[in-house]
Amino acid sequence: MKKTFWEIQREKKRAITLLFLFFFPFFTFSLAVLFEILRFSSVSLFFKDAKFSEFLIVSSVISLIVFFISVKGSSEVKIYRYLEMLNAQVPDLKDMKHQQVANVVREMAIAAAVPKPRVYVIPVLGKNAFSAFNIIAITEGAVSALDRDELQAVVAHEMAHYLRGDSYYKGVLSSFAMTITFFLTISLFFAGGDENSERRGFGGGFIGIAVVAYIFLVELFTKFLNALISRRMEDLADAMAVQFTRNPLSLASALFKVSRDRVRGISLLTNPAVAPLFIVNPARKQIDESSGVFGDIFATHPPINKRINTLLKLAGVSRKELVERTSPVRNNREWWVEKQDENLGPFTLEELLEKTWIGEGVKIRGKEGEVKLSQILSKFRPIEGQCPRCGGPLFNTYYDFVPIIKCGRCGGILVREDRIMRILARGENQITEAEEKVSESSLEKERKTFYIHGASPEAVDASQPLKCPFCGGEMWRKFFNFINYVPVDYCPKCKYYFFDSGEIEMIIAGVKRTKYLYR
Amino acid sequence: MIGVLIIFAILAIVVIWYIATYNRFVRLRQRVKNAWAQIDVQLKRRHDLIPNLVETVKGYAAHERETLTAVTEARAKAASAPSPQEAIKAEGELTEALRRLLLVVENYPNLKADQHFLQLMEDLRTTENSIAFARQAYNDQSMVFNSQIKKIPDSIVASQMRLKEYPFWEIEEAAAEEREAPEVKF
Repeated sequence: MKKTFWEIQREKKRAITLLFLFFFPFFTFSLAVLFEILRFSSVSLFFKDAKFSEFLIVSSVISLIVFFISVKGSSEVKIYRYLEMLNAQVPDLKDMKHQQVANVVREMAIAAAVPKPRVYVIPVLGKNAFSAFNIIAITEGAVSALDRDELQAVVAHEMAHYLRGDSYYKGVLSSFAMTITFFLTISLFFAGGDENSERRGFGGGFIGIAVVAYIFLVELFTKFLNALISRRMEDLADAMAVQFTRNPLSLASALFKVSRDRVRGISLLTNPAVAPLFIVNPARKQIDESSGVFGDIFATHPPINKRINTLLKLAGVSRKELVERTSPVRNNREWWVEKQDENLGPFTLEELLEKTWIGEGVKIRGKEGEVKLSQILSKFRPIEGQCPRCGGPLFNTYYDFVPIIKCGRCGGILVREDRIMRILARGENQITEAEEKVSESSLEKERKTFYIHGASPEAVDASQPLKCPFCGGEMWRKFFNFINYVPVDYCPKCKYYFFDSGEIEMIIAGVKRTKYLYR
Repeated sequence: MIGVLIIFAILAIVVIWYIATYNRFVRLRQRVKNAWAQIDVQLKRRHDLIPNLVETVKGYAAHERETLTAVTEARAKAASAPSPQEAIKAEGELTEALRRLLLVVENYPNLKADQHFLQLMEDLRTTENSIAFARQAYNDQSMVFNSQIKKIPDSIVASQMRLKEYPFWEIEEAAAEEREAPEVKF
């Protein structure tokens, strides 16, 4: 019998409520039992003659206090600090992809009938998204890799968490877990027997072992319960996302793409405190991937394949069709490029403008015969100033929707500093295998040169600095970073980078190869 | 003594349940109303956007005058509709006209490389999506409300409050015709 998303929602909501109702008595009871065990230890001087019911009252008061503190005190400050650390930015509306993000969030807020939350884009290559309080954040990698419908699905999933206030509940759960750990830890200090008591010789060893065993069991069970609730929340959010978009297939393909993320697990996002908030666990643990016994007990996210299969069932689509659907297709390939007697292509117009190695000495052929790069670029808005390298004319254009400035003669590009991460993220999908090979070999050449001579900032030839086209000041010549030694030019005043012909491809190839995330 | 206490406790539970249910209905009704208001907001937004969109398309596809004037006229009609029924009809026509405009845009593959043009498509798309989602949200909320007021025992409170079902927003006639299978005549 096929379930509708309404039925899935009802089921998961009931499970979450029941689990929460179970959590409070569990917490209270386990604290009371701890006091009971400690009755035999040195601190028992204070409550030697207390009854178990009195312990229960004390621990229920404690659990109420913890509950209220964690609800009231779960501050957004921490999340904002985290976003700041990741250098998260509001969507750049000049970039169409970012504008899509902003639009999609607005649409989903309407579909969920909630006020519009704040949106942030995190400039890292990992493909992920999270929501906390009234914030929805999505990584640059996800923005670049997902199409509009898939973005919508991911945002809908996050909108469901926002609507349900899941981050508050998760805060309550984690502070209960922390309180238990706290009490258990301090109790260890008192677990030894009292030297002067008549129970000497019995207290120490026995109480110590009992407390350690108890700590282990309670912590394990708390983790288990936490994970159980967290998984139900993810399933519920998936079902609600389907309600909002009425398009289970788009969420399935989004999850499929996100799960195939090469840089998952080594990204900056793997902070355990925030990991449960993400749409897929950024830490790529085995237990989140498989549906084995451990996966069913301790994973904070349901196995991703199970989630995808549920969604595919809702959509009535087979897995094979999903895989075919997610492989990219581009139309309008009508541009050919001739470089050193080699015929390359066909490219779309967008791709043609993205390739910085297309410049002087490269022939471009379109439908109407041979054309020059500057002729194609003249469709775009020119800007004042000249190419710092060759003095050619500059035009405002785009790299897969990221605004850049391109030289019409040599093909070099100027990029504002805060947009570089976006180009690296999007370049991953744009760069072809042949380009990657060429770029890698030149990367290797650069690396050898600098490696032998010692990779210090002075190793870069800075004798003839370029002139910044905006302020006229001298540009710095430096390595883009110290993983792949690509020397680039940078204007510290205007915060613009200049990449010579072919350099951006080298950096993208380097990112692909080293799989490092860098800024 | 104990009997009195039990009766008192049962009464208290009933009163608490009544208040809770009453409040839940108030909240649900508010949500439905809010979702309804959101449709109007989005329609207004579409009216504000259209002049801009038409101007932009004119720059690229001036000879598609018919489609463009149809959009402008439908917008004027929808903005000045005297009654809600006519407004719904006019909005339906406007949706149709915009859909045709989107089809026209599809006929200009070369323009798709143009950022302004893509921008225009995105604007159109988000506006149309917003309206569709606003209606969907209204239907979802009224579905929850309608099924809740029929459930026992909540229906007792609902009849006390004289709550009535909210009607669903049906798709417009034009769109409905489109969905029907075309008849084949020989």
